This record gives sequence, C-alpha cells and structure tokens, in this order.
Amino acid sequence: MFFSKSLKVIVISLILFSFANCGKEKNEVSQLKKPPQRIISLAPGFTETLIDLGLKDRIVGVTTSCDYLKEVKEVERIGLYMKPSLEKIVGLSPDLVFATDYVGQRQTVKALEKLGIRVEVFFEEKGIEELFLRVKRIEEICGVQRKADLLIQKMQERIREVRTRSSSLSRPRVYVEVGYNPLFTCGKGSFIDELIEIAGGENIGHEINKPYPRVSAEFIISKNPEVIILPYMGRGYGKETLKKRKGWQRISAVLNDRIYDDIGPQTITILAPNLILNGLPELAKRIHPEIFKSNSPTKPSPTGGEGKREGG
Amino acid sequence: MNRKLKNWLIWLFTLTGFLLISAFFSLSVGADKISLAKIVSLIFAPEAGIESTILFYIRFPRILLAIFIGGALAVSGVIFQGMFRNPLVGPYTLGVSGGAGLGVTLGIILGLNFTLPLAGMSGAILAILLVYFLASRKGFLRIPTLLLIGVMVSFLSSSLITLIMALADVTKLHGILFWIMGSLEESNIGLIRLVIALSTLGVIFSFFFAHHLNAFSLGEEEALHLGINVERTKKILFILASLLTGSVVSVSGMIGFVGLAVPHFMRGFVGSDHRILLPAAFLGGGIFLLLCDTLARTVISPMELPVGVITGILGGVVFIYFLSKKKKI
Repeated sequence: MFFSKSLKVIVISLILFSFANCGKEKNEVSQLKKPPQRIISLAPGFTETLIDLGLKDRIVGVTTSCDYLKEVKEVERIGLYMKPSLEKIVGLSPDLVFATDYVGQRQTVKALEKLGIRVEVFFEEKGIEELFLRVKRIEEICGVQRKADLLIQKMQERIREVRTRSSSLSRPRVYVEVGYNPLFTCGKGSFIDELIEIAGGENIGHEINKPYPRVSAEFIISKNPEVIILPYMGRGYGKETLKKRKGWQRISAVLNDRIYDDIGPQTITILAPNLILNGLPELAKRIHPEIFKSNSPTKPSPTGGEGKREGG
Repeated sequence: MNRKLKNWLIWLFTLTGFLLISAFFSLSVGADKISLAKIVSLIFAPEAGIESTILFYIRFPRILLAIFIGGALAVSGVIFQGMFRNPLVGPYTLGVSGGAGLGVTLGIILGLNFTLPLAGMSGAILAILLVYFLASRKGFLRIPTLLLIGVMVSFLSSSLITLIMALADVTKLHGILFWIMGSLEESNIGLIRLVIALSTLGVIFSFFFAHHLNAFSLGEEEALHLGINVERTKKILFILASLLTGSVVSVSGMIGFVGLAVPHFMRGFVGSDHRILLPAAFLGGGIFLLLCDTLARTVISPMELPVGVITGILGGVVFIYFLSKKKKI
C-alpha cells in the first residue's frame, strides 16, 4: 500500500511537470521584443545604476541590501542578496531580472531561466570596466541611450580629472580594510584597487592576485601603510579601535593620524556610477588631502538630482 | 498477529494522511500569498499563470524533494542504528556525508558548478570504499572497527573541508558554506526525479532486510543462530544505507538531525519491529523535513532560514522533551 502511494506521487509529479513545461515557451517569445517594464534588481549596484539612468519607476523588486537607498523605500523586498526568494520574484511577474554571479544567487538564476523569465547576469566583483559595460548593456536593453551616454561621459571625465591631478604626486601606500576579524583587504582585480591607483595611491594589497584576499595583521604592519581607509562605518570598530590594536601603533598611518572612516559605507564599496562620481573624489581627498580640497571636484549629484547618496 | 498487522496498517494510514495534509499545508503557504480557494481550483483545473507556476513549479518540486530526502535520511538512520545497535549513530556518522562534502567542496573550488551532485556522489562513494576496505579484515566487517574508522574518515574529511575553506576565495567560501547549511531549493527537475527514484528504490530494498535487522537487534551471534548470513547482510546494509545517504546529501547538502532523531520518534510510536519501522520512518522523516522546510521558508519570508537550523532546533527540543518524559514513566 505504501509503495503504490509513492508510485502515485511519482506519476502525479510527472504529469504536473509536463503541464508546467507547456506554459513556459510562450512567455519567452513575448518578452524579448519590447523594453522591460517590470525590473527586479538583485544587487544594490544595479539598483543604483537603474536609478541613475532614470529607470526608477520600472523597478518592482529589490533585495534588503538596497535598504539604504531612499529612492526604493516603497519597492517590494524579495529577500536577501545572499539568498533571494524565488517565489517572491516570480510572484511579482517581472519581465527582467538583474542578477549577479554570486553563488547565493546561482540557484535562483537557474530556476528563473527554467521558468522562462529573462535574467541578465553581471559580474559583481570585477573592475571599473564592468561598470561601463553594465551601463551600456542596460542602455541597449531598456532604450535609455541619451542618459546612458551622458552618464558614461561624466564618469570618464571624472576619472580623467582625478588622474590628471594625481599623476604628478608621490604615491602613498594605502590599506583599505574591507573586513575586520578576519582581516580582508582588496587585491588586484577589485575596483577599489583600481580607484586607489587612479586617486594616486599605492594599494598594499595590489600584489595579491585575488579581488578580496584575507590578510594577516603581520602583512599589513610589514607594508607600513601611510593611509588607512575604513569603508565600513558605525559598526563599533572604527578609527579608535584600530589605533588600539596590538602592534599597529608603529604604522605610519596611525602615527600620523591618517586613518579615515568617514567615507560613507556605500560610497566606495558598491560598483555603481556613484562609485566614480562621488567615491573616487572622496578617496582622492583622503589620499592627497593637500591637493584635493573639499570644494572640488565633487559635485553631489550624478544625473538629474536623484543621487544624493554620499554618506549613506 | 492479525491485530498487529491491523495496528501497523492504521499507523501507515495515519502517517500517510498526515503527510498529505502537511504537503497541502506546505503548498498553501509561502512568500507569495495565494488563497486556498485559488489553490484548490488550480489543482483540479490547472491553467497557466503566475500562481500555477509558483504552486507547481516552485513549491511542489520542493515539497517532493523534502519528503523523499527526509524519508531517505530517516530510513538510512534506522538501518545504521539497527545494524550498529547504537542509538547515537546516524547517517552522517560514518564519513559518507563527509566524503560527499569534500567532493562538493573540491567541485566548487575547481569551478565544476554544474556537476556538483556528481562530485558529491563521487566523494561519498570514495569514502564508503575507504571505510569499507579499512574496516574489513579477511572478509569480515567488524562493527566496532567500522564505527571507529567511519568516525575518523568523517573527522578527516571535515578537517580537509576546513583547510580548503581557509584557502578559498570569499565567493567560493560562501558557496561551500551554503552547501554545508543545506537547502531544498533545487531547480533541476532531472535531479529531483533521480532523488525520488533512488530514495524509493532504497526504501523498497531495505524493506527486504527488515527481518535481518530485527535479528540483529538481538546481537550478531543470535542473528547467526537464526540462520542469517551475518557478514553478507552487514556489508549489504552498510553499502545500501551509505549510498542512500550519499545520494541525498549530494543534492541537498548536510541537513542534520533528521536521520538521527526521526528513527527514535518512530520507534516510540510504532515499536522497534523493522517491518513497520522502516516504512514509518520514511513517512515520518518526510513529514518532519517537509514541516521544517516549510517553516524555514515562511518564518521570516521573503527571507529564508537554512533548513538545517530548523531541523536542529525543532528536532532537538522535541527530542529532549520526549526523552525526559520517557524517564518519568
């Protein structure tokens, strides 16, 4: 009796799956033509980029990692960045989902594609080049050419501006602490590493061929950074606790009080236009305070006055 | 005897009914609110749409997976506990899951993301072979040696996993952590069918050894006197339960506690005759994991808890409660 029950379950499941398969192909065809109107973004970087391109009204779902963005306060939450809820996404009937290559989203991406929902996967932890590619791709998909071109132009201009001013200066050694306990910094291949280079610094993690390597305190102390940047803020272990860490007192940045924990937590850690437009000048200001004064070149708004996000 | 059979049928009937009710309950709750009336109408008259996609394509496969994985783990637990005559042994004790974990971890590190279950299964089989050959002396499988070597292989592989995690990239590290926490969200329907088939086969096959397991509970020598080929049975049971565990763990990760606790509950309900205990454990394991997974995906929805957290907490509390009650009686 019990065996026949499980057999029944198998038979029923097979029937149901064949049903579900029927509806799938129809969806796919109809979605490819017109620009998407119901977009779900699975990473704050995409959400910021979409807002900057004036596509805020088309966003119907974001993860809880976007909670810092005032612009999407009212938008539905579809779970954690680490693990978005498949059911919630499907329930919002999106015609486009922006996802990352992060492992926690891999299952969701696979499942969405099987259900015939269009998914665009971007690399989350790559260099600045990826940001430009992303803006161009969104331009193609959503048909916002003018705004995208303007945004790209602005970002390129900002990079050129900062690079010109920093190129003739000495290059202080910079340590960016991405995570504490265990210590994580940014190495080659991360966008922060590139930003430090443009802003006229020398990233002490650059020699490590991993975007976000775990490092030892010994490594940092032996590199003796002249500038320390703490991008996280208000988590109880800022500048003052760093000064008290054993053996860190002899580091140049600590001796000369060049530890900065005042850049907003989302300003230099999220790959979005804001990273170039605000994050880069902010970083340059910390690395070369003698040249980059607070009055220039930072102008708070990237495109059309929606981006007052510095300081988070 | 007849009365016993009637009693067993009542148990099986009750458990099956409870399983179906749980399945329907699980189908009706989730991050997206769908009314009961809508669900009933969709079950009897399926039509394309978001609701039916969510019900039949997202919730239903997950329910099936929970039932069959929970069932397989519980059955494997019953076999191991019966064979070792040790209430603390579970499907994860003998290093099979450790081997699967090591396989998956290596798979993640090497970037074999699409063949992770295969990597897990290979790891599990290697672990089974290793334990088997190290524990058998001149064709004899000694139970204490088997247990010791199994536990050592388990420790060894978990240390190796930790070693790999210490050297891994952050993103790959997260992949390993997610896998270890276990999840029943699987979009590959072929894989789900495979799990259902393997777990069903395993349970059916194990049923033929119910008598042997009953005899084992008296002791190996007594089983021998009852005319059972003890050595052969031990080997078959060990390999059967290990393969069952390995295939399940390769797909869903290490969901703890089901295989350890459910056999105990079921023994408390239906008695320790394996002819009823095996099917009852399958149904009970299915119900338990299904309810835990339903909780995991609804408690803080749209966010989700790892199902292993729920099985551990819920299972642990209920288990301790039962044990302490038993003592008083």
